[in-house]
Amino acid sequence: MTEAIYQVAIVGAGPGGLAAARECAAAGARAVVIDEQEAPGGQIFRQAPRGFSAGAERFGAGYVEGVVAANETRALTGIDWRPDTSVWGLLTPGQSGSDHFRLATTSSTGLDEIVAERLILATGCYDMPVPFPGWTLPGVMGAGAVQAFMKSQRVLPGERVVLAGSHPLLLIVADQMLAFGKPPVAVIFSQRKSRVFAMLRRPLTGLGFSRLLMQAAAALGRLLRAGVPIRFGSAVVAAQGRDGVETARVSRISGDGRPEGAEERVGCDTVGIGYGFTASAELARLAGAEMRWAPWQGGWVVAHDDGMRASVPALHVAGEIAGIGGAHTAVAEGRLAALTALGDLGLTVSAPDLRRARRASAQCRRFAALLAELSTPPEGLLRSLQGPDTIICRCEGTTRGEIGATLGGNPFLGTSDAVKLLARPGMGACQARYCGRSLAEITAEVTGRSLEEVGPPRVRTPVKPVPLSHFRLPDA
Amino acid sequence: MTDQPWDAAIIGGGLVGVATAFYLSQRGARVLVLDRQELNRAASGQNAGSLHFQIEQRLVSHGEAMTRQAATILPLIRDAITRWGGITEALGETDLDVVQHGGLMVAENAEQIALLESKLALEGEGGLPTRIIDGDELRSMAPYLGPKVIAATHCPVEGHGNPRLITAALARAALRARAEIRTWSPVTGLRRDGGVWRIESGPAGDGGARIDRARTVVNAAGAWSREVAALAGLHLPVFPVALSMNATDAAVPFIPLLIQHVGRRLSLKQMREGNLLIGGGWSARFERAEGAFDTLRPPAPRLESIRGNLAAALTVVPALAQRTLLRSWTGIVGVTADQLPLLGEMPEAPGFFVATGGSAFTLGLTYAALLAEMIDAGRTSMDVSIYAPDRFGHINMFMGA
Repeated sequence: MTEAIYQVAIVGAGPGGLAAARECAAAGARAVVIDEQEAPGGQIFRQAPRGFSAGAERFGAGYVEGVVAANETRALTGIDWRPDTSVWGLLTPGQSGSDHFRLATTSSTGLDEIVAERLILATGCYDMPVPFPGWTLPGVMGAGAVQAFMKSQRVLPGERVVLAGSHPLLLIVADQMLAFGKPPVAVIFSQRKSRVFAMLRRPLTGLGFSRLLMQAAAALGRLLRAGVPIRFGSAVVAAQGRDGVETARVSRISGDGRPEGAEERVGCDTVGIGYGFTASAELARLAGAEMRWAPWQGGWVVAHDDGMRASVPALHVAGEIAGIGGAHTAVAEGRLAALTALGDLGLTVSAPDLRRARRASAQCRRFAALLAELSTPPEGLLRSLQGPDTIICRCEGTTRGEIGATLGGNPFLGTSDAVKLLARPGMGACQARYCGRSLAEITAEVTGRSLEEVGPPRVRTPVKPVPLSHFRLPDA
Repeated sequence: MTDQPWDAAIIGGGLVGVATAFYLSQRGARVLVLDRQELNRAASGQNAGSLHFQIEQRLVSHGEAMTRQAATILPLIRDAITRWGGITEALGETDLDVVQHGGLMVAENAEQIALLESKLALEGEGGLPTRIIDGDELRSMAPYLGPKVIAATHCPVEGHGNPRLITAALARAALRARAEIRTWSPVTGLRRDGGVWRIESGPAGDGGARIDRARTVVNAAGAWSREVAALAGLHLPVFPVALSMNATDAAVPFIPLLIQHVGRRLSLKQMREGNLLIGGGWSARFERAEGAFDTLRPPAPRLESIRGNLAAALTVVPALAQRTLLRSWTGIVGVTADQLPLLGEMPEAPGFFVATGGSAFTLGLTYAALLAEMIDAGRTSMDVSIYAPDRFGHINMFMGA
């Protein structure tokens, strides 16, 4: 089999991957970009199918610019594109027995393989799953998912939407809903009002500016003027309904992060939860990259040096999987990761460019840390939302009580993996994306071990489920 | 530290080690289990759980002499058949997903049918209730088999255990019988001292090593048996082999039988929750550290193995095309130089017992029960001398603690 060996393979066509692709194109490197979506842009610049394009301006000027830039990058010559393609397997040079990475891919046309000297992972993030009573009811979703409905299909997932959590994204989603003419029934922040307002004033001070926080502050103003109810120091503690969510139960949050006082019932058909994001770092973990636990910046994120090199040789990372930092961080790091990779390949990289990229990345990271600090929910709140009957693994239906009983009845267990093996949380179709964090937190809490010791459940090949029909031999 | 030595210190918290702890502590022995990390995290929890009693494909495919040698395992097999059948109750459990609805070893051509027939004769001599079936009988027994399958041998007592569940259940029972289990306790030193074994364990460095004394030591370290024997100054010809397994998403139950193939590497079964486990001895690739195999890290998958194994499964059960591959994983299993079990006391080191090799999941409970007899009663209820480690005495002639 003679296949092209790319100098650089980039997984993810969000802001980070696209920035890396632009550097590769500029340097004339043989590069390929692989992405699961049809159109480039990632989650933040997620595009609607062709013919659906009307109404993009409702997401703001930044969105329109981002989509245009993504499509311009897509049109660059010299880069191969594999849209609509998932990477399900990954072998590092050490594991493949060759000098190259081997990426196993799947798409509507079946299985394929990509071979590359260097790999840049810019695989983004997803809404941090937060288990609470009723969170598996139809209509309960991540705030990012509410936004994805609007961006990709130009629809809202429901008529009466409650947004709840601690992340400023809630304000931006609410503002976009307002532009759709259907503002949310309520926006509920777990932090106190003073903390949220302090957060929104911060972008104008000291360090420079954060576009996300400026956007959120402007959104807050519009929402208040439009009379959208915004509450602080409260949380959705349960969702109830027959075939889908009908009521969100809302409670005040005490000083020690627990729900207190009488609950209020808010009628709704959709609850969008936004406490932050989880890094989609499965491929990096599969490659054996060293991870670090960053609870409010993506959970387990990839450790890297100041050139975005991970601990695995020839593996580079950019954006959310290195710690949640938003689109601007991803762009800065995508550029830096590519410049480093190109330099490591022996291609000429301008020293001032590299310096600028390094400086931009460092500056973005300072904002990311600030944003994480400000959008963290009161300590202990998320834990206090879980009762014994709360489902933790929605694929296998494993409850918190069952995980606790497994740990109690088998005192020799000490890792998430061991609990997974015995009680099955994390063994379903989502491959522990929903429950991995909660499983680790419960295991740590019950065993008294640290999250580092307990670890997340191990990532397995395939990173996304693959139809078995793809493996059928032609004659079978 | 009490001065009373343990009756047995068992090194390795997999199926064999924990089952030995269970059987010994049931007999009233004071038992300690030590594991480098957690229980059940190596081959015992990673294998595909087949209770395969027919002589395996890997053994019949190397000529008649090898097949005949493999047939010497049948007395152990007969014990395993009844032991697995009673284990759930013996452990006071209600459902450990131990199923013995039967198994098929399938063939696709005349050459493979000839292999089935040759092993069938040996199985008959060894008292295994196996027979060959084809045509309508085969289709009505297993309507899900693809058109390429033309015959099979059927063994009515085959099936599967559940590698996720059995070792933990044994551990719970052993704890109830007062065994002590210490995880995250790698054994770092092993020697005879004043007529008993002195076992040094625990994280080297901080806190220092922990010392235990035991009348006997059981080397139940599976693929790492060689390293544990080396701590006692002995050679064991056990070699680590990296294998891969696959699991599909859950389906409505439709395959009650264990399916194996006489001419291809394939084992296939449906577990209690509906997931199908697909394995059969496809290789994975060891990670390397400074040129040597690194058996402390999980082996890397081979894409070729995943593709080959699934293609074989799809040929035998075409309806699998409607499923998705949910996960593949790799594991390390210990293989002995002659593929036969290593079971018994090492003559060069009195009180040092070993049990590994062979089909150590299928036969694990049997190994453990026999070890418990050896240690507690000094003799076994069946002749197991051909599995004794003294057959490798020539490599230990110049060794010793």
